[in-house]
Amino acid sequence: MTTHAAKFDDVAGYAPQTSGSTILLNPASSAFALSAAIAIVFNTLLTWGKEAYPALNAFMASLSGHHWITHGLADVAVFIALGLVFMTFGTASQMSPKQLVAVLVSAVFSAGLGLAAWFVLG
Amino acid sequence: MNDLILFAHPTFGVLGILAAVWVFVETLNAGADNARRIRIAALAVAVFMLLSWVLAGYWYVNFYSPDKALILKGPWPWAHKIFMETKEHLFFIPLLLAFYLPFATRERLFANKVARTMVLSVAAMIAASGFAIEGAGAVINYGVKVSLLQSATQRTQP
Repeated sequence: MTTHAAKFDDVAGYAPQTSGSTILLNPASSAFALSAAIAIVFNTLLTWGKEAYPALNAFMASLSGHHWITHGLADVAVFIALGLVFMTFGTASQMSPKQLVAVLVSAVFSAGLGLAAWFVLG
Repeated sequence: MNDLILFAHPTFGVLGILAAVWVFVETLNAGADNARRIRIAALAVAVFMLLSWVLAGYWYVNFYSPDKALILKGPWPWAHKIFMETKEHLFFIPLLLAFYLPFATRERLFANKVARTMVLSVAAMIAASGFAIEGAGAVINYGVKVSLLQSATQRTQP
């Protein structure tokens, strides 16, 4: 039987994991792709929140000595925590790899434009 | 020492961009023979971006305030209000992508087209956003320069 993997994949003996006709990413790659997309959107939302509510900015500054340190650590914590959760529960594996690529690319573009627009228009 | 940190953070950023381009090119030519090299390059991206984050953060938190005051008093206040504010938050995007890249390159890229697409997309986005951030850094630097030039001109005018 010719599988989807065999059509795309050129190297005999190295066929990747498949589910039906869909080639899969490994569980860690899928999980952390989704967590990266969410952490990147979270980064923009947290920026908007900090800028809109000085009390949030002050609270974040009180946690580490500077709002930017807290902000960065929060982003990385969201990335790692969600990645581990998604890997444990197989959440991201329910999405097709093409969807994961699209979600991550869309997250980067929308979050980046959202940040720039906030400060240009603000 | 302060200047060393100031210059080191964009240097590691550029090294991160170069490593991302390295990952991109190797992935375009992915085969069994360069799989290990791709993983090493992806790890290099993550390490360089981590170093850039730590050094940039140390400088920003401890030494940026006088520069900010100068920029805001000078003719290019938007160098801080738009470029610095955007840059300091935009940086987390390539940082997170850089931390993800080692996971994405654990795939057998030469045998998995969609995994190659993922790695190519992530590496390209790291390079593109990295260049944007380097450019913003240049504008901020110039914002300080034009402020100092304005002060010097005002002092020397009769």
